[in-house]
Amino acid sequence: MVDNIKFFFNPENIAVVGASNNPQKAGYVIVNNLIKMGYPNKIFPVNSKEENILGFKSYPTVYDINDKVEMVVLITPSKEIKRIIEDIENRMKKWNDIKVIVCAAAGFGELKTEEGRERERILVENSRKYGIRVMGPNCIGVIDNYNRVDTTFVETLMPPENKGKGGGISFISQSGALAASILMWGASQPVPLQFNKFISIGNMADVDFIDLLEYLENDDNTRVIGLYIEGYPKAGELIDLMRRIALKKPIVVLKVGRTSRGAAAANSHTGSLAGEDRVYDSVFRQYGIIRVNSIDELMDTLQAFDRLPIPEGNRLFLLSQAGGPGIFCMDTLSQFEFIDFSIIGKKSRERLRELLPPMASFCKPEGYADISASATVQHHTDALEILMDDSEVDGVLMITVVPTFLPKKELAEGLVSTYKRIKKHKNKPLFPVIMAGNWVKDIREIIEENGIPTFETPDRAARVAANMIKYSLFLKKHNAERQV
Amino acid sequence: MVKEILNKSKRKGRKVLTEYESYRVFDEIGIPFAPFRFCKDKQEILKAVDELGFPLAAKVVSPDILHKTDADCIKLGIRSNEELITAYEELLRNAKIYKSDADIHGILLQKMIPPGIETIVGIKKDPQFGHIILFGLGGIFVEVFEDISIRRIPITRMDAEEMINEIKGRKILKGIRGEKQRDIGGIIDCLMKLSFLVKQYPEIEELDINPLFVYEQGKGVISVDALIIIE
Repeated sequence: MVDNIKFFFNPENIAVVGASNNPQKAGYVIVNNLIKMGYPNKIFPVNSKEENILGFKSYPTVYDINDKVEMVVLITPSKEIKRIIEDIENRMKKWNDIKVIVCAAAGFGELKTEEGRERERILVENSRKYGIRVMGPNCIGVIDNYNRVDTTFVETLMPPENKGKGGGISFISQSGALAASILMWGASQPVPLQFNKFISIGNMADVDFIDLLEYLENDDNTRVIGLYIEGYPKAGELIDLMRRIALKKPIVVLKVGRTSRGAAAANSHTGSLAGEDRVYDSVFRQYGIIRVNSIDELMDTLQAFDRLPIPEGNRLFLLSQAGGPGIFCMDTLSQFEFIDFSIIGKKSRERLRELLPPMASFCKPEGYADISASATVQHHTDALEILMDDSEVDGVLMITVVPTFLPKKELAEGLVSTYKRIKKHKNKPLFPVIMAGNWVKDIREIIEENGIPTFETPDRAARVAANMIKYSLFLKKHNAERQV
Repeated sequence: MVKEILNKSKRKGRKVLTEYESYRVFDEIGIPFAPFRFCKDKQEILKAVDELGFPLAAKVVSPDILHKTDADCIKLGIRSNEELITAYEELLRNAKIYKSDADIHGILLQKMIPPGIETIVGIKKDPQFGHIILFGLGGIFVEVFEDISIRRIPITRMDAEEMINEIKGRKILKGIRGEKQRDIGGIIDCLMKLSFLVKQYPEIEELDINPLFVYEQGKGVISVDALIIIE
C-alpha cells in the first residue's frame, strides 16, 4: 500500500469526477490545469450531464470509462460520496486499476459533525479495501512538475515555460489556502520557484505527513523538503522520521500554533516550563530540522537549499557596496551567535587594497567590507572573486544598492560569470542582495536565471545564510558524534 | 537499587517519591546531594543534629506536599537545638494547615551547604515526544525569564553542552566580573546521568532538581531539592 503513494505523482490516466464546463467551478479548473500542465496521459472528465468537457469526452460515472484509470480526482459535493464510492467499488471489481484518489472536495471530517465524519469514513474505509490511497479530503491537490501532473483547482501562476521543469523543492502543506498562496508567491519571484512535488494534504484522513515524507526521503529529485504543519497526532513518530531524513536532505518547517496546551496540568517546575511549542522548537533544533518564522523565510530558505551548495563551515564574509544596508545586515547576522565572520588571509587583504577604490574599507570589523558607492562592476567582481577564493571564507553575503550610473546588465553578468568561474574549484554559497524593488528586477532575473537566488532585503539574506550555516553545523556535529 | 525504590512507591500506590527516596535514587546513579537525615520524631531529630551539625534546613516529608515553599513547609538556617524544636513544631502545624489530611512521613533535616549558582534540571514525559530534559538557571531566572533549554532524551554529551550554551545565563556559568568559571562538566554529567536514568526507567514521569547548586570549576554540583514523580 505504501508503494501506491508514487501514483499520486505519476499516474497513468486521471479521471476527474465532478468535472465541469463552467469556468467558475473547481471542476473546470482541475481539468484546465491538467491541460495547461501538459499532462501526457489521458484525462477522463466524469459528469453525467455533459457530453464533452474542455474537448474531452465526458463519462456518466467512473465505472463507464473504458480504459485504464490510476488516479481519481473528486470535486463533487461531499453528500454524493456514497454513490461515487459505489461507482469506484464497481470499477475496482471489474478493472481493479485505481491506485489513488485525490479528494479535493470539502465537507468531510473538518466540519466536525457526525455527518462529515461519516462521509470521511465511507471514503477512506472503502478505498482501503482495495488498497487505494486517499489524499485529503479538503485539499487543493497535488502537483508533480517532473511528470506534469497538476490536480489543483487554484491559479498557480506558474508560467507555461516552467511547467515540466521540476526543481529540487518538495513541499507539503496542511493548509490549502496557504499552499495556494505559496504557489502564487513562489511564481511571482523574479524567477519562479521551481517545485518538484507540491502537496496539499487536507484532513489527512488517510495519506499523512509520514507517508509522504517516507516517499520524499527516497525521491532523488527532492533536494529539500518544506513543511507547513499546524498539528499532528503522532508527533513522536513524525519527528523520528524527520530526524532520519534531515541527515540526508534539509527539512524546512513552518510550524504554527504556538500555544502551550498540556503545560498547565504538570506537577513539577519542569512540567510547567516545557510547553508544547518550546518542546517542538527544541526537538527541531536537536535533530537539525530548520524552523522558519515567516512565509518569506520559508520560500527564501527552500530556494537557497535547492540552488546553492551547503557551506562547509560557519565563516561568513559580508561584502557591501553601501554602509546602511551593510550595518543593518550585520545587526541581523549578529543575532545568530553560531556565525563567525571570516578573518581573511594577508594576501587577500593586499589584493583588496590594490584593486578596490580608495574610499573602500575592509576587515574593519573582520569579515566585513564596504566597497563604497563609487564601486564599479569591476570592483564588485574583483572583491567577490578575492573573497570567494579565500580559504577562510565559507560563504559570501553580498549587498549592492544599484546606483543609476552602474550598468545593470553588466553588473548582473559580471557577478554570474565570476561566481560560476570560482564555483568550479571552490563550491561555496553566494547570497546576493540586490536593492531595491522594481529598479533591479532585471538584474535579479539575470542572476536567478543562472541558478543563483537573489534577495530583496539584507535581513532576508542574513536569515537564509544563518539557516544554511545552522544545517551545516548540525551535519558536522552529527559526524563528529558518530566518530566518538 | 533504583528499581526497588520505584517499586516500593508503586506498591503503596504512591506516584510521588518523597524527597529522601528521590535522594536515594540520586545516590544510586551518582548525582551528589546535600547530606540529610530523615527523622520521624523529636528524638531522631536531636540525634541527627549530632551527625549533621548546624546550620540546618528542615523540610516536611509528605507525598501530599510537592512544593514545600508554597506550603510554608521548609525552614532554612537553623543554628541551635532550640530553633530546631520550634521549627519542627511549626512545620508540622503548617503542613496540617496546608492540607489537614496530609500524609506526613516526618521531617528531613539537611545540612545547609554553601550556596552555589542556582540551576534547575528536570525531566518530563511529553505527551507527544516522550521524555524530554530541561536545563536552566534557577531562582528568578527560571521564574521570570524562563531562560531554559530543552532536548529530547536520549541526549549526547554534545547535546548537553549545547543545552548549557543555549541559555542566555551561560555567561554567569562561564564567570562574569572576574569570577571563576563554574563546574560546567558537573552539569553535563548530571544531565547525562538523568538521561540514562530515564532510558532505563521510563516509568519516571517528572523529575525536578531545583535547585542544583553549581560551584567553581572542579568543585562539582550538589542537588539541594529533589522531586520524582512516577506513572
